[in-house]
Amino acid sequence: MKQILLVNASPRGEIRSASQYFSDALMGMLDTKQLQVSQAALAATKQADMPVLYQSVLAADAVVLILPLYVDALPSTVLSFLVELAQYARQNQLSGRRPAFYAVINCGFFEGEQNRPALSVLRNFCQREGFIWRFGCALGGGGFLSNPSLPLENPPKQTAHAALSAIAEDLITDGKSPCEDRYATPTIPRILYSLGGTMGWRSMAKSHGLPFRALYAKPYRKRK
Amino acid sequence: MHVTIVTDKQQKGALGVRLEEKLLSALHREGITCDVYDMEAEQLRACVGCFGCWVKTPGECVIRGDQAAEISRALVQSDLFVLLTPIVYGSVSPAIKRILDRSIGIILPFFRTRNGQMHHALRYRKIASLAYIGYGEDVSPAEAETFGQIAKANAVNLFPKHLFTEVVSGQPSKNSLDEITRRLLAFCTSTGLHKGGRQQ
Repeated sequence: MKQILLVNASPRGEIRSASQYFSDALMGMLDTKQLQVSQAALAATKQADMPVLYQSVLAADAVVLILPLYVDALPSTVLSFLVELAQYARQNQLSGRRPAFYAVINCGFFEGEQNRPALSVLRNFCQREGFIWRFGCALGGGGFLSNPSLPLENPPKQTAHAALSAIAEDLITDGKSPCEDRYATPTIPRILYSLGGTMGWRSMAKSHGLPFRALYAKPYRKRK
Repeated sequence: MHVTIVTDKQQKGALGVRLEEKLLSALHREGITCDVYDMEAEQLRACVGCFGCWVKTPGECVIRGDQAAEISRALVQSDLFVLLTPIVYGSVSPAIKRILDRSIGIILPFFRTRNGQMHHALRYRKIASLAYIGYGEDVSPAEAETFGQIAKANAVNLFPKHLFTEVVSGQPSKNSLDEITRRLLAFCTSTGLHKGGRQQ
């Protein structure tokens, strides 16, 4: 039976992580007898257990790496994970069959397009290390999408749902879809999304006992 | 003019050592002052995406006890901030990425539209100009292109006044390394970052 591994690679782990939400959403789409699907979370894996995670990645037929965008690229922890995974494969001379890779990258920015350089990093990784690159989903508005109060199938989030479905379908049909990345942006006005963000930051500041204006502090301003 | 250079201690390799030496001696000859942070990934904790630098201790990472805050401060206050980094799959190296991830407090959480896309509002009126110098023994054309795209995207988000990018691959001759440092100095002069010193 085809083995699929969904890796939530968010530095936040399983709690409060949009990546875990997308991993669970994919899990739901892959509820079929043809596939054996399992989930892992990078940040929840202890250093001593990393070899087990590398082994399950290398033993899978397909791996979906699910992660947030950090400073226009992969979070440092995800980059280290890939470097160490490749090293592990080389050291143990596991030069045979390598899994096919898919990715789901979400960013806080509105436009899914902004994940493009990060997808390129993953494609380059596959090319250099001999993994098969299938395609990625680049999702904008990650925080909005992963808020469970409105399910992913519903109109403003539909684009992301369709992108994730493309991965699910490709896994089920054994890589028959075109190998091209899917970009998804929520279908609400950008200004609304932006305002929602500001309200969110305001309430987070309040929860730390800070007035709104304190968020504008300049601790590194040059003293003249 | 003051320059801060961040290098990757662990993965430097022979090419990184040569590049760093060339760069430092060229800056020194011009009388430009310079700080170097030679970092290992293990010396810096990784960002955990807590947003504390935006909503708990605004402008500063909540993780203390390593050099990340000092380097972020240099990213704001220097005239030029140089990332001298091995290229890893088109990205900066993990150690250098730790620094960037831990530095997002230098911008604000709020959104603004720039170049028709959503980006973060700026916390400071001015930060250091940025130089991304990536290198590797066999950087592929695709990796070199990705490196340039990331540098450009970072420059749109962090909004330095000027951006310099360079990819060095293979085993460049002494002359071609000289050419790279010459280009960086020309960039400093043409952007007005470097006014004094001896000019050719």
